[in-house]
Amino acid sequence: MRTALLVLLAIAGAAPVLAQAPTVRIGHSYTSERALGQPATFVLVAEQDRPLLTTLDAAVVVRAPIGRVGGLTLGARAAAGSARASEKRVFGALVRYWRVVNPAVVSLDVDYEADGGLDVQKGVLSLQVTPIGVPSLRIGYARGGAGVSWRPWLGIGYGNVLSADASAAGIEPDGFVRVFGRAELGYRRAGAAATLEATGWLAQGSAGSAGYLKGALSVPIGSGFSIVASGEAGRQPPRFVGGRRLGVGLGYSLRGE
Amino acid sequence: MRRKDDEGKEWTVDEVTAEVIAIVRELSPGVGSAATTARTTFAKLGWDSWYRLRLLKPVRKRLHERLPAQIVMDKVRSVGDLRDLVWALMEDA
Repeated sequence: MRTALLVLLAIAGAAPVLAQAPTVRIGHSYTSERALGQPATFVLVAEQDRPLLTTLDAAVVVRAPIGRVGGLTLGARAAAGSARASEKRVFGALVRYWRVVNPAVVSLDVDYEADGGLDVQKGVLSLQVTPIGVPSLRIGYARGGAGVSWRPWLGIGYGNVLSADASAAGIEPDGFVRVFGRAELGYRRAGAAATLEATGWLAQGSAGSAGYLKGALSVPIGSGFSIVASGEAGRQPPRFVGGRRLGVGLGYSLRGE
Repeated sequence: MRRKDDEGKEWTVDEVTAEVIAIVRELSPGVGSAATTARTTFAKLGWDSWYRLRLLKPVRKRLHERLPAQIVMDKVRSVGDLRDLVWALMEDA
């Protein structure tokens, strides 16, 4: 409840800022810049004698400057569709304030996360940091556009379980703390983009330590549309239920240029 | 046409372009100097969007303009975009 109020207050506070020069972007997820750069995907899965199944991975964010060295982001995301079991679907909302603190970027996030049936809902306040760029380590910079660049994030979060059914009550206790690390990798060639995002959590309760890997390869076909191959494996909040998935589908991205 | 930066120094658009290209080259080790022009995109240089924030400090020190960080991330896709932003922040001389 406390975190929910914090989310509402953050959104109310953000509204006047987002009225100035906002940028709207649509992508795969808002968990990282590279994930946001990948297209949102909608996949139809057809099998003989079975109903048509779908997967949807999409995020929309609105961003605006705050002062000269910071910015504010409002976002919503869904990893859903009937091909995913209810406990493996994820719905989220985000209010993020970030600021350059040379030589790093520091981000303060308020996240809402829920499963498909809204049986488990959590609010998390987290602080995370990444270096702006270290060319010698390829952090943020792929020399001359050739090869791979990557970006690490380290963070800590405090959250509340806003709602949980009896079977999911012990995943994380109310008033939980999570430590997490994320590495995002990117590779571009001839318009095609490949990204990989690996996240690890050290959480309380039965969630314990968990890892989640997500990758996508997109080839643009024009007007913001792409052919996308994507995959995911591992356990992620809010339920930390394991699973693996591979798919090929149509994607769409809006870069707000 | 000339414009003034925040410290009163006057610039032509060609001088701003040359200085912006010099800054971008210094932040792009391993890239041939001839490869960077106003048309060069940061994606082609291999910069991710957070890496573009490394532009803030040298632009402030050498062109005496404070770039808005979120605009640099979202709107500045090429060296020419950066030149246009710096030029727009300067005042008519």
